Amino acid sequence: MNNRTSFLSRLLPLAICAAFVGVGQSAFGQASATANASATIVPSITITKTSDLKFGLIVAGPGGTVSISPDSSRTVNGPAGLTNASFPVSAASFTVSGLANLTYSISLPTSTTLTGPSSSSMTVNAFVSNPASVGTIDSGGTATLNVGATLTVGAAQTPGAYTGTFTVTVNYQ
Amino acid sequence: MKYRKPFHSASIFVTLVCMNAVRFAAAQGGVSSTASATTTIIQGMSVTNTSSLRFGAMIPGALGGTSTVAPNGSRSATGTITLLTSSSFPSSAASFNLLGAPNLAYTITLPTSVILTRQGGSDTILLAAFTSSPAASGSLSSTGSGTLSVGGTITITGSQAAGLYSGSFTVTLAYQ
Repeated sequence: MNNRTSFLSRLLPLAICAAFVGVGQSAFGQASATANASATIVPSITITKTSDLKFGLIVAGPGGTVSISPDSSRTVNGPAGLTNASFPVSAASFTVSGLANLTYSISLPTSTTLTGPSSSSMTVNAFVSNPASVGTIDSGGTATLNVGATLTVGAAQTPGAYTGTFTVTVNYQ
Repeated sequence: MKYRKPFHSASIFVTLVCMNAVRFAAAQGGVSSTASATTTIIQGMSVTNTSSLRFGAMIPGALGGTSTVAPNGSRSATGTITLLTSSSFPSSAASFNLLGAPNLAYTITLPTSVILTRQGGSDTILLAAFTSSPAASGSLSSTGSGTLSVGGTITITGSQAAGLYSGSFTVTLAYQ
């Protein structure tokens, strides 16, 4: 009996010790903190043409320039411009798609050439756009980009249809 | 009585902190033994998160790849990933403020991996290869403070659904 009591009395403080040491390590010697982690996956930006750049119907004769602004209005300087439903006038229009609220930069060409009958040609340059150089994709993930330019018509330009192409590039900023 | 002594001495030896209790036991058992014991009470360590781990915005491209934020906050990518630099989607390493006993060394335990989940969806991104600065262990300053920065690597596929992915991870520090 005496032996047993003695044994227990020795064991008890040891147990207390063990408990104490355990608490000390977990509560005071160690600490944790949690951080948030995030990543945003962005869809590739795309641009799709929805309308071509159309200078409309122009009467050959004196040379000059025909400008289409991004809002599709036409300014003629030199040759006469006709209004005809079969030969509409419009700025080029593009739909830009990407992640909502991101901004994008716009690169316009310097010039392009329209070719017509008998290898005759005209130059289009002074491209302008709305928005001008930087746009913002709206909350729905799209944006509209309108592009105009200036056509230079030669004196006694060969009559006929003239066509060409130009490329607009957009990039996330 | 002789057989008790080695046991008793051993107790004292391995549990210096609890010397008083052991000595109490000795008194009860009728055996006395004297040893000196010293205990230094140190301030417990605390860790506070001050900055999230942000990978910013990226375009997976055709094949995807990995994107890494280093503890110094710099970003890099492999595969066909294009990293975007946008003020709308800042990137940063996670940062923690440490507080504890002056000059004490500590060890750092980082998670192995965690899952980031797309907001409004169930798509996931694995965040792993955690790195930290200091790397595995560090020392608190003479005023008992410190800073811990943590980076990691995410793996994304070429067809990773667009959106904001988020999750959380826990770092644990212990006095050495």
